[in-house]
Amino acid sequence: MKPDPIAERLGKIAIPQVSNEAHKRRLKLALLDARRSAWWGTLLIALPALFLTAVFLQYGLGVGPFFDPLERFIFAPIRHSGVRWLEPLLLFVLPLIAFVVNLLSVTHFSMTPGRDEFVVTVAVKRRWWNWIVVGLSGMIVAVIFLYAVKGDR
Amino acid sequence: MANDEPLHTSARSNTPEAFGSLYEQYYSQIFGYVYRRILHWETAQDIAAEVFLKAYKSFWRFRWSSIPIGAWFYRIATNEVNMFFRVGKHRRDVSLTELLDKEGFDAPDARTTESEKANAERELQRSQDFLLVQAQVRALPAKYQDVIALRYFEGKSVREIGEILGKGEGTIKSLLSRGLEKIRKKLPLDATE
Repeated sequence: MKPDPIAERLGKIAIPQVSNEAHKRRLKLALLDARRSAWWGTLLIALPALFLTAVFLQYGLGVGPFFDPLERFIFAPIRHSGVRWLEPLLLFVLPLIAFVVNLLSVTHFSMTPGRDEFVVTVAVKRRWWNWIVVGLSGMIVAVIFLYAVKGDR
Repeated sequence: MANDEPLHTSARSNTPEAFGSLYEQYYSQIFGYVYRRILHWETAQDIAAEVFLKAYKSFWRFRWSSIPIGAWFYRIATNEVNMFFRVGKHRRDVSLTELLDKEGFDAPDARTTESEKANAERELQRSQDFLLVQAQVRALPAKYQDVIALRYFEGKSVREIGEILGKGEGTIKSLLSRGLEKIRKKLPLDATE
């Protein structure tokens, strides 16, 4: 069968190839990375947040149905497990990681070199769940840090 | 399309991580397809964003046995392109790109974006023959545009086009044949590139 000349012609045209890496990176950040960091951040601060809430209820308001079970079933076994770094890891290091990762996922810094100065632009993204995680994890880190410093004196 | 499928069966899950890998694999193809159909950089960005946002939202219920994943992305993109032509520029939904801009990440690497846009425009200027054919194809009804663009601009086989458009191979062959017939008279056969 004789090939269709119009089909042959279309089959031979040079197709323009384009690349849009900037948009690809930007869109991926919006689609996946911020949501993922909020989810991981929530997991990382869940236990310390529960612990601090129980401490506040017990020693601040005198309401104590939560602190004893938490202490008995989670923190006492951790403390007596022989792994000394496990408790600071759970209460300080993991919330610190949640804080840093979520803060980075909702802020963007760019620096443009000018003739006599550098122009630094800080863009902040309104992803509320990330900001809630940033706030809570920052608070947990600050409270645990202050407690540790005060406790040493 | 079968060659584009994820190689590992472990990648065939419906998790955000799996979507991330697929995004890396298909973004350039889908953006290129949309751009070659629309020929407008910013609109192509908006439509590509819309495609991946819609895909991400419904990825959890994507059935791997139903359609190749590449065909699924192309199907969403084809629908979005057709909606753009049908509804017009002024009545589009708010795109993810617009949302991003509203939320503060306004073109963090504007120079890269501009340089990629300029490269694409230069590439188009070099492809005069493509532009000539594209102009004729755009004058056709959407059903012919889809099959001709997928076949000759994207290099898809008849079977792959059938998977993308959800039609049988016979229907695709017939649409291709009638579409080519419609542009035959308008297109000189001896044009140079």
